[in-house]
Amino acid sequence: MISSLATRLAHSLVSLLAVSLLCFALLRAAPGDYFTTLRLEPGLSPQTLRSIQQQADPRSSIVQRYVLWCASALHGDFGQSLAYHMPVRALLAERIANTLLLSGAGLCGAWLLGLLLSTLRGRPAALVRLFASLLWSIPDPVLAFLLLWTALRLHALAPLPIGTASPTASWTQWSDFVRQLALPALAMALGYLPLVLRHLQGGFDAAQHAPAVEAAHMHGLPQRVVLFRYILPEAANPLISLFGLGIGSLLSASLFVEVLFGWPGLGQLLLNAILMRDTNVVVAGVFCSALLLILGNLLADLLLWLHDPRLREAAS
Amino acid sequence: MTLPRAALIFLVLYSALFAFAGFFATADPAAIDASLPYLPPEGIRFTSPAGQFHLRPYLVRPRPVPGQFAVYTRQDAAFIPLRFLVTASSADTAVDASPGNLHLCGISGGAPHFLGTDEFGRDVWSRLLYGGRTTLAIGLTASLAASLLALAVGLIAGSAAPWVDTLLMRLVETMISVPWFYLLLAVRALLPLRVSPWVAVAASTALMAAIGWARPARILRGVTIATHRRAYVTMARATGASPWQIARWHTLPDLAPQTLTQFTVLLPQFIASEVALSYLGLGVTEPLVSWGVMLAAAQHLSTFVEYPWLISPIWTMIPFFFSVHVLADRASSLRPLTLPSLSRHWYKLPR
Repeated sequence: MISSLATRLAHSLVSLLAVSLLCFALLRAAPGDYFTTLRLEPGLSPQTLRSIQQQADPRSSIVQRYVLWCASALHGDFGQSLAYHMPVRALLAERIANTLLLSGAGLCGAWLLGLLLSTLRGRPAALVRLFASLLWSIPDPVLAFLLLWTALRLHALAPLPIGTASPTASWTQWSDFVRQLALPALAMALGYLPLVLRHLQGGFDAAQHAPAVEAAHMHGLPQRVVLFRYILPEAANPLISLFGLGIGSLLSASLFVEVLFGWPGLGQLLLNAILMRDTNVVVAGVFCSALLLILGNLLADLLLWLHDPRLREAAS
Repeated sequence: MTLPRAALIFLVLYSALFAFAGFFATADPAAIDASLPYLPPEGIRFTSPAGQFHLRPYLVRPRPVPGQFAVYTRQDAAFIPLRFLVTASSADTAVDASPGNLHLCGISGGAPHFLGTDEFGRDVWSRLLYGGRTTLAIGLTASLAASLLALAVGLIAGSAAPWVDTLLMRLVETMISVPWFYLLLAVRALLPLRVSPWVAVAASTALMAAIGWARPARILRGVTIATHRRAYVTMARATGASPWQIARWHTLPDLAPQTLTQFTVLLPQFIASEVALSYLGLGVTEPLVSWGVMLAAAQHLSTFVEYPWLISPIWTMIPFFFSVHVLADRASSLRPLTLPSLSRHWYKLPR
């Protein structure tokens, strides 16, 4: 039964390898690089340019470069950012922290709100269903736009800090920082909420009529016991998958929100790096977010495997 | 009338607005009017300045405050009678180059600005229609291409040899394990940043199709495999039907509802991606107009607040998304496609 997990792990590794190859190939094939824009700089002499170029590019074959890159990536070293003149790792670490904070807050908000709303019954539940359906039909970027518009309309009533985020703020500026986080995090949460709600409501509705639950009811078990011992485990499987997916997309879901709300996260860094042809940063950013996505899926599989005895039995 | 049918009818009528943008537009979307930058939406009145009722509506055009940029006053606003079914030459409007082109309405000596103008005095209403045409064309083409590609891959993976299946599904898994918008951006980086607008349109469309097919392909492969386990496929195989015949008469009809569903799921996603890409400066570019290009003009928050009519593409998109969503719900509950010819025995039973 461990072997099925090992197979899953091997699949993930193959995916990761393919992803790294893909990123690398794409960016090697890109016409023009960081130096094409640098060449237009009038204040830079050709000698200086050549020396910078030599520093960055030790003239090796693509295969060598790929292997070298993989080796250093395993150490968490993604080279030097050409545009920012600093190690990609340091650059990425700060931005990844910001993005994790933003999407983590969004994800937690969506789950909390979803759990809260899915406990409703009767007419409010129907309203929530309608609300979720409306939210569901609006794609995330448009939703973020709408939220920004609403916030700006309310701006006159209660000043909201928009576009001036500085998450490196010290503890004394903590409250200010939370206020800055609120809007983009809300945008993330609203984008994610309908998915959560749909899974929660669907899962619980299905679980209520599961044979095991009905049997437990007929045996006259107390309501609480039925809920925690029968309904929750029955409804948990799709929720666990969704949770893993949510963890996996922490780094990649927020690009547009970050750009729109001026949040200095990974997505914004990546966009700028693409515009400036800063290859190392692009590859590292895409690689990290893909890595997290793969890990998230793996985590979901592991949790499912731990939770559901049927999966373990099927494997053994 | 059921909700899905109403949504379908609405969608057809709504799309006609953009398909016949030339008729409904009141101005050339690229025509610059330096005298009217950031003009607020003009009102329509059925009463003359004197207060008398008129059947022919008036367009109320605010007057620019002399000496100030983009400041208008409603005092002494001009009341311009609106004319219907005008040709470009007869109304002397600034409508597109082809004279004799019929337009729904116009005014003499200029163009009505129902939704105001942008920074360069370009008519927002006309840009909205022409931009919608670009955006919807990109979205429709890309989602059609992606769903057809997904159908082909799903069908092949589900019915071909196991090694083909494994290979295709590994490819799909790799594509799914890269965040798809990041992948879109990274592949977009392959192209030079400044390309001609039409190349940019073609590139965005092709990229979305090339990246969006992976997830639907996996779902369609699952449906294919489920169909192949059905008794009627076993029976068809036993009576000597070729794989092609099985695909034509059993698998494809079974795949039709799910393919349609995937198409309706991809469509809003691709429209939003066009908007996001163009907003970030990587999609459609000026002088072409799309909803994303229009929103990119409202990038500064101050513009957002002071000239709220510039984000009208958002309000235009939302009814579209709602109705597509209703159709997607309906499509997912469709029964497999059955053609009248299917009731006949199409393959020869062994004698």
